[in-house]
Amino acid sequence: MNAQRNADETTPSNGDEWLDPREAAGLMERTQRQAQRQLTSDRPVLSVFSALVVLAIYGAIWSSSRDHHPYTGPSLNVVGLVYILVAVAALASVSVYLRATAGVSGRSRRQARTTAIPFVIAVVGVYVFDGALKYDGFGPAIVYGVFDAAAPWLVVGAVLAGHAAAKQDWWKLTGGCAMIVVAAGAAFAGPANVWGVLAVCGCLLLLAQGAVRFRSGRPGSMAPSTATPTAHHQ
Amino acid sequence: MTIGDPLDPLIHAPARLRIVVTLAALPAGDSLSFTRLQSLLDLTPGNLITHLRRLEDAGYLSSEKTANGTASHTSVALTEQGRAALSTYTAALHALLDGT
Repeated sequence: MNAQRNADETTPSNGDEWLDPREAAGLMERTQRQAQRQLTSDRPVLSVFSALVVLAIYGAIWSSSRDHHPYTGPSLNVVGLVYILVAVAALASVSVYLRATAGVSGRSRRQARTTAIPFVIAVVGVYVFDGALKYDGFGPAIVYGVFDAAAPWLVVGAVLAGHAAAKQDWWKLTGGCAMIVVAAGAAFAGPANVWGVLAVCGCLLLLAQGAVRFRSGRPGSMAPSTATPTAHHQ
Repeated sequence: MTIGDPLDPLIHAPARLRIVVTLAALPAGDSLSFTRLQSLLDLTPGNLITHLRRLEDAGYLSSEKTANGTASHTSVALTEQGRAALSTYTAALHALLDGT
């Protein structure tokens, strides 16, 4: 009861609207949640969307090529679908990122631009290397199968893990390492099934990322609990 | 921290509490434009300026005005002192609500 009385009798700020401590805690929690939702592009819903896109892309390629003997690669229709899905996913991600970072300037924006450089180089490097494999006479099983499916995961996972390690972001480091392990393991499934394995594993990894983002997006230690104080001291 | 510790009156006001908590959601070293902050908090420009000035006078905020041709652009950021003040305020509020 003392705590209740003290909570109610807190001095209001001079010349401002009176604010009850419990209201203040509630206001902090709501504001924190709103700010995190509006100012960050790390949204759980984006992870779920990406998970579905990965499942659709890798699943479509696996579905169209699983009966190939020998493996010839995905059909042109599936390749067209993949390009459309990649474009939609990229547009959605960029749109969410631009909306979240509108009006934000400073260190994190500069870091984001710097981080994008190795990602872009890594992805471009994979496909240049892919061309070199074809030029050197490797068959579709390697060029359009194992390498095309697993190599982007290996390099993007490595870049992500390196960046996360430098920032001591253990969740992202785990995610990057998981990408590498999954890609290396999936390569043993063969040129068609590697797509199927990565469809399922990629979807699960992104759903796990969404769960982590959802957990970390909930009001944390900053906003105090708005529970009545007497409940803690009975 | 005891129950008797006062809540920082500069932060313990609805509009300023929302301003400080919103800016604290940004990583240290980042700033937010005045217009984005205004749209996030749904405050009038005059009201927002008044509160920002009080927080800046206390050293909790820093603002930067840049001119781009005829348009000027103001951005605000929470200072280290502002982050520390919010942390102290949060601890005081915790203590008050927990009755410790």
